[in-house]
Amino acid sequence: MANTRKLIQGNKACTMGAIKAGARFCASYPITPASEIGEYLSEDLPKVGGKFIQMEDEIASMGAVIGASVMGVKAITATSGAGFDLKQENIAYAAMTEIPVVIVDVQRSGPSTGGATVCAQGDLMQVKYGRSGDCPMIVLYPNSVKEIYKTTIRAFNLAEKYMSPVILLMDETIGHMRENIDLSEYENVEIINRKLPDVPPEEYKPYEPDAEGIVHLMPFGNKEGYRYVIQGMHHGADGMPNLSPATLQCSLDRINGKLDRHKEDIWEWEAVDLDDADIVVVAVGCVSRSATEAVHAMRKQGIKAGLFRPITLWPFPDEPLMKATEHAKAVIVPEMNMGQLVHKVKEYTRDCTQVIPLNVYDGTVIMPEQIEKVIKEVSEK
Amino acid sequence: MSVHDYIKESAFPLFTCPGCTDGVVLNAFLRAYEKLGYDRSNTVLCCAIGCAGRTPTLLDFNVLRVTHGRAIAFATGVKLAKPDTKVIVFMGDGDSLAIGGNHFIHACRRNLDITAITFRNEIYGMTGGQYAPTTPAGGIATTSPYGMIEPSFDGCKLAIGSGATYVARGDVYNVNNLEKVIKGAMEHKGFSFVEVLTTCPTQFGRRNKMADPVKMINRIKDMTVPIEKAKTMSEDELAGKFPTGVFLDKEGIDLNTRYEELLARVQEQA
Amino acid sequence: MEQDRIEMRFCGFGGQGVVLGSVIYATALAKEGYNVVQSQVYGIEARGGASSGEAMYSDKPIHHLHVTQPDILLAMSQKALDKFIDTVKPGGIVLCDSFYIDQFPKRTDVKVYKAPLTEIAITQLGKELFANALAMGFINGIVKNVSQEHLIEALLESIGNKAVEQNRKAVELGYETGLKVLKEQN
Repeated sequence: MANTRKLIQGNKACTMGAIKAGARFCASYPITPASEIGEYLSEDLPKVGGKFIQMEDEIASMGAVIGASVMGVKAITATSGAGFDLKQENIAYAAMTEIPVVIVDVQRSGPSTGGATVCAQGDLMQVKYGRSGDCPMIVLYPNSVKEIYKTTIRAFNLAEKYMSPVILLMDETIGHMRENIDLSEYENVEIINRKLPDVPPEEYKPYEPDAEGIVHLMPFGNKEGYRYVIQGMHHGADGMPNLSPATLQCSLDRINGKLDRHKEDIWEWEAVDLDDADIVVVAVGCVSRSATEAVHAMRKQGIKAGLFRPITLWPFPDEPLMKATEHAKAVIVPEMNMGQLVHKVKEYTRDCTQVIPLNVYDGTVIMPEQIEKVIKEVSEK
Repeated sequence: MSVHDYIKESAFPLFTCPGCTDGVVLNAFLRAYEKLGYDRSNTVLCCAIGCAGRTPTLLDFNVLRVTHGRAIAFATGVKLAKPDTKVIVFMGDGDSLAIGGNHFIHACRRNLDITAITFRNEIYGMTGGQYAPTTPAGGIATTSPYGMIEPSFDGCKLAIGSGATYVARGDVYNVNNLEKVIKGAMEHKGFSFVEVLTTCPTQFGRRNKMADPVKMINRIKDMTVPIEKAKTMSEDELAGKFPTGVFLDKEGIDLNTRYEELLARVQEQA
Repeated sequence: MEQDRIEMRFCGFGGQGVVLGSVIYATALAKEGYNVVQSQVYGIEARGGASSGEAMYSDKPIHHLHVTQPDILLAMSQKALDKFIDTVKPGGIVLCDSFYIDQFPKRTDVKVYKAPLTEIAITQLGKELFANALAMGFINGIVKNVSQEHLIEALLESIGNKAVEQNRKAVELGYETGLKVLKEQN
């Protein structure tokens, strides 16, 4: 068994997943702690006929990946918080125009330059709410090297399936961590490619959704004669600018509604010892690993603790969370920021459930003992 | 094909103001495109925000209209993803030289094989007449009510200095030259740039005592001088003049060619 | 394994390659079939002060992110030893490069083994550079948690097959030193 298991860095696993998913283009701009993703792809993409380019800034790299995707080539870019700020402009464009791309945000401590190599979870809200307008987003949040690989593939699959940008949110600690993983189980993993139009060019309306609410955008450069405009103004089925009230509403309903409608397919979460838990920890990313340890330790002491871990952060798995915390007397939310996830948890737990935040934002990761301490305090009440 | 076949009549009536000359540039482009016999199935028009940025949406092409200033950045992805694509980028002067200046110079440096056309109307038209990096000295704009005090950009000099391999200027008065330089740009392998002097009677003209569109076009006529003639003129005579024609047309290895070489090298090693 | 997981820390000053050392050792542990987590803590303190890499291994899945109480501490400098000595688990093992360390731990609940690793690298392998590879072998000579072949493979993979013979020799020399020290200092 031993020799097939390789030690792989989190950021490297992301690039391996991307290539496995069919990504053949990456444009990025250097920023710690995400730089390795561009570095690895600059080395590995040409080996499979793909291309990497280091653009002049974050804005350009976001634009370039969308440009590549418009041509039908799966594309990825990677950055960290301060660079993510700049990418937002064109991420919103991709959401509005329904172009599938994958954006990796390996978080570091912010705001601004903050701490380049300092682990933090400060972008949980930014990835969803940092753009103008009602901009929908799928955000996935793995917590191990193996899960990064798997989730990167899933990010591309969801992007192509729902014609949407997908953000892969990571923690510095997980991006830089090395774990030995066996990837053989993913050899035949399903790879999803965007649907192409099923009507001839003369009947084609690029932004007319199918019965599932999904648009079928024919890649530009096609030989079949499908010609249309992709643009970020509100548009009707023909893709042309249109600011009529009906079109506006329809346009926002379409880009948001498709994710809402398919949220159960998009949602992914992990439940640890939740069945009879009366104290539920809700944690994401690296913190959820400490929370897993804490829950196991508490169980050994007879305390009924459990963990609910959203792997899909957005759209927020509200119903699963409500179910998971139905019988909980308290919910603990450890996170490496000043309190972000906790707001969603409060929104989706019963009023009678006590929601206890545990915020660490000094750059140290939350350790199991810190979570155990809060669980014990609650259980003794 | 006739030029009319390239126009999407469903997109009319025009969104442009009376007297706008953006259509003149579009016309010159289409005539050049038609003469070159290119195939729309591997052509992508990129553009962004503002009047110039919106014009290609009137054409029956695959059009990628993006965020302000970013058309060249998106075009870089388009061109790298599908190297056989003919990419033409339509931009305003604020679009290409202000907000998109960084992308512009780096595409020049990379010698990306695309054609970039800047509509130099000396003003931000769509947003209501604010000054551009091309607004002439003393020019009145909504954000330069006391007259423009900043020096203006020469798009051609910027392109030459940044590494573009084809650089030309045209204008909406001498349409024959305009069509010729756009045609030359599209035929060129490597980054080709055409700065086109256009007019905006509504936002620039009205504020600068040239509300009459014809008067504005006559101003262009007075402002321009063919490169050959410019070479015989003194610096004083050239003050305020814009030479037109082809400044630079040289061979250079474009980014995609370099990338194909890289791919061959890497795959040979593998 | 009796314990849930074994924690190892590799510390020294910047430039000694201790983070790389943790990657190499973790790779060898992975080859051995363990579940392994390797990580490092960056930060201001790593510059000019103590630099450190970590490896944890277990038969079971590891959720822990960082080493907190190392079972095995490799210290390649005085400053690094001083910084981490108090964190070592009671009963743990501390390995010191006595070329850079002259004040050894006073703790009586840990086992301390010392050898002039850097000096051996300079005198017998011609370069201080090989101290890191030597240290890898030294650890294994003392704790014997991986096969020597896996350790050498891991080392060569991590450094891109450079100076293969010298590195192999360094690991082996380190291992022998470890065996000798274990005998003498036990």
